Amino acid sequence: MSSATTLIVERLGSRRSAHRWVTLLLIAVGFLVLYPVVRMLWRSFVVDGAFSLSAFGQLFEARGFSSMLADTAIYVIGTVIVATLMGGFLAWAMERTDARINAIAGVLPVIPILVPAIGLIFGYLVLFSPESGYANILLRWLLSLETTSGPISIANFPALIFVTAVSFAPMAYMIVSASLRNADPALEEASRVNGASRWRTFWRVTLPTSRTAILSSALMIAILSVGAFTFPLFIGTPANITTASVFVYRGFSSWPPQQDVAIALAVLLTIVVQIAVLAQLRAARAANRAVIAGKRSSASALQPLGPWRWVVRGFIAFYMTAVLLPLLALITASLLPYRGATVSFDNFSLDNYRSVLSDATSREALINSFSFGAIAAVLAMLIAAVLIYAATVRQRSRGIDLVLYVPAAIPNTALAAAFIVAFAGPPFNLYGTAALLILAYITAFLPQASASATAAVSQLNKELVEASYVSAASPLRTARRIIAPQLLPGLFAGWVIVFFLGVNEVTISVLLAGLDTPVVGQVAVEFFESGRVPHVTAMAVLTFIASLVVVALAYKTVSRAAATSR
Amino acid sequence: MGATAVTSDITADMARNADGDDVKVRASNVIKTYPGKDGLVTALKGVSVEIPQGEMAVLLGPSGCGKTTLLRSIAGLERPEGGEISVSGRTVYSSDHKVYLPPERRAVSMVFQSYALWPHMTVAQNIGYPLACRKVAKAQIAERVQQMMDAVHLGKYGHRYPNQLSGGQQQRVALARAIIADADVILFDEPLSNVDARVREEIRKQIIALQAEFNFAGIYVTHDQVEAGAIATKLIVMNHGEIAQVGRPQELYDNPVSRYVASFMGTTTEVSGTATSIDGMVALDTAVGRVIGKPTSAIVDGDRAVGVFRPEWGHVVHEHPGADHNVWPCVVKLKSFMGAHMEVVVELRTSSGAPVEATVAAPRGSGLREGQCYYLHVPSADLCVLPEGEQ
Repeated sequence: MSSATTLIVERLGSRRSAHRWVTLLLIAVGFLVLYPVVRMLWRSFVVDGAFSLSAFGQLFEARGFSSMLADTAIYVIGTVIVATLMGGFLAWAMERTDARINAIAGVLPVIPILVPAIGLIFGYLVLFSPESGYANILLRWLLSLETTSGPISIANFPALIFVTAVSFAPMAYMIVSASLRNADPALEEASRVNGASRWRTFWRVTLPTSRTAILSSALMIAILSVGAFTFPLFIGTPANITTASVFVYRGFSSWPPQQDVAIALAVLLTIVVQIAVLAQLRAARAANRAVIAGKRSSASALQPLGPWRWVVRGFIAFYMTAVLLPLLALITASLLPYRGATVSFDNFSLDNYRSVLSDATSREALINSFSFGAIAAVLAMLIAAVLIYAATVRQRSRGIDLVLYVPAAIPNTALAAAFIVAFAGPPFNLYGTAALLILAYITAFLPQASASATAAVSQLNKELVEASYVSAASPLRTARRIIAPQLLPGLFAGWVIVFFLGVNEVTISVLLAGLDTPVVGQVAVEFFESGRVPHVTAMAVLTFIASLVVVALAYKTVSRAAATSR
Repeated sequence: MGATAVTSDITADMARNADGDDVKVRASNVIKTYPGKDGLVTALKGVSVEIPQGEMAVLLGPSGCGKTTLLRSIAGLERPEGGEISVSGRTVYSSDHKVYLPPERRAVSMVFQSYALWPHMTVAQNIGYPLACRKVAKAQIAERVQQMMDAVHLGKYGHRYPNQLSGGQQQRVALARAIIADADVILFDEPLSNVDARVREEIRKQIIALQAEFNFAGIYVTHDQVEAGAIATKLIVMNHGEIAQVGRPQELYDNPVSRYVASFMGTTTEVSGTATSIDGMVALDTAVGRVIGKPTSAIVDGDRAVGVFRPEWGHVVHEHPGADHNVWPCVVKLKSFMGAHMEVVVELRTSSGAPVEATVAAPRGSGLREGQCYYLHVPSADLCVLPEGEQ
């Protein structure tokens, strides 16, 4: 890799102008990423030109602060435990036992992208609404209950934690299963051969070898749940649960506004997450170190579980149901005219869709979300690809990595707050503009864009580039005919991810979208707060289907490109 | 292939033997260093080679000997720190005159170890690319590509993508792509290390045939001594960034100038002793008595030297052959069937007590039995005496 890229640098990169463009881009992106955070810190720590903690004193005395702290702690700890257990157990079942189901092992990692939080949440709301929830109706009938509501309510902590955990578990699954895949199953076989039982082997060998991975994934989920907004807003609000990120949102949106308190809390959140991120980086590094070198045994890692196999499979099925059933319920509800209407063919209609599409605000929101998402994805991938390519070529990447990955350590609520502080007022006056939303999306999703761009650039084959040069191709022709076609499929895959995240974004949208620039996430919150749940379901389904169509087209293009590469 | 392959083999040999003195590649005193773990690692310590038109020079050596670095320096894919390189009489690199031409301006072609076929282009597009880069008209490209595909027996595969071809077919596409632009110099970077033995032989013959047809100067890197011997008209053995010996493969096999070259070119048996010269030959006083052989490089009387012979140079016989030197009583320790002949490991009695083992080739049916005593005779005209040096 390096010598080929050095070669390309010498040809393309060392040209003064190219060099200068990259530096300019880096400065611009650095400004976009760092300036808002610095402004936010400045605003909360400096009062009238002097260092002051008064903003935090105000925060600690704010109404509901202590209960918010308790709610956040319960929510984060509960989610970390449940999601890590769920994901870790799935990883163990898939990588180490004959309960493995290949098709599902392939689907699990893409669930967080494919199943947007808003779809999952409204699916659960539809299933478990006290009177009209389909699951509740079914349960009342099955158990012959005489009541008209219940028996299951999701307006409580366990339900909030469960739904969040279902959404976050794939993160834990990915980290733990990667570590299990790297650890030689011969370690476990050695334990069995030496007389340890299956369960002893699990406790004494499997679990300790993946300890760092489990720690790393627990911290990852802690970071995600501290910043999580959508779940506590939609599920927690009816239950009077207010977590930190919801508190920040209320500070900006309720009357009278408490911006300073909200900003101080956003700063606090950012600091707490920094600590978790540093710990996570250390844990992840240790997890990488734990990879055992040497020739891997060819033996199958999948241990037969006997009758337990079906118990474990049962859990896998339960998890998949917990993801898919809400989506089915969501689609059903979107076809019914009002909450609680009987599920029958006669009642099915497209009225909700019609009203969503005829309503100026929601129609505009759909168009906006798709176009902002697409633009932000193009720009984010472009920035990431250019900077990461420059980093590989110059073999100097610290500044570039910092700029590209810093947003991963800022909760989206805090990021939105920082954008308001930095760009809403003069001299930028961007509040409520499409530009502000797009800039915020780019910033928030730079880490995902960079991960995809890194994968694409690292797959660039050195000899293919050299073969072009010895064929007498100019650097420009090589870039156009050889390098670009090799990079494009990977960059396109990254575009799909960022597009999806942008279209389904709620946290940033709700704080930054103005009256003139409605987007799906923000309109969903408005509809929800004004009781128009069927409309939200229809909009969620529309977003979901439209995104799926885009992904299907993207997948087709990517796989066609992949088919021609070895 | 079949019969045509045989005839093209013969013409190739004829072409290869015709000595062209038109030097196509001249490298002199090329120096290249890499930053290593502890300081700089010198990959090339002032290497000089000359390759005339129609010649196939093979760079042979173990990994890390600098052979690939030299090839890539000639291609322009690496930039040396010192020396001069010219291609077709044009200076493409010179440290003194600060000249460095990028690869695309050097009029060389190259076949890569991984084939390096562009996955997003069809076979025809891959092969036609060098012509497109040289601004050849479209219609002409199509015609030349078809000719080239026919020449490498891929006539019907033009619309396929590389991943739809077998390894051998992919390698032939890579060959066609390297040859189509009619470059004076074609570089081969271990092109056969990724195909299986049968295909390897077939493609090797094809390379020889193509060279006869297009008359380019070839430089071929390999670590396989058999492959090197089969394809080289000029064999360049390298060791630690330096050239150990240059010559026809037979010369290097029969008259190696160092123990390194001797052992790299094939199996050897060594006996070491103190040298005394007599009538252009060298006598060694060794643990198995007096050994007489020919010196292939300067040997100073009284120095330690090593007598070296190959399995087929020694003869294991039942009766004393009557020669007055290089005859030793021996015991057969082990016989192995090698196909065309038997390989016999014999043990020679020594004055010091520690036995010396020798590997000898014997014709099948020579009636040798393990554990029995015979005589080993190595004619002094065959046996080489080499400086002890480092191996």
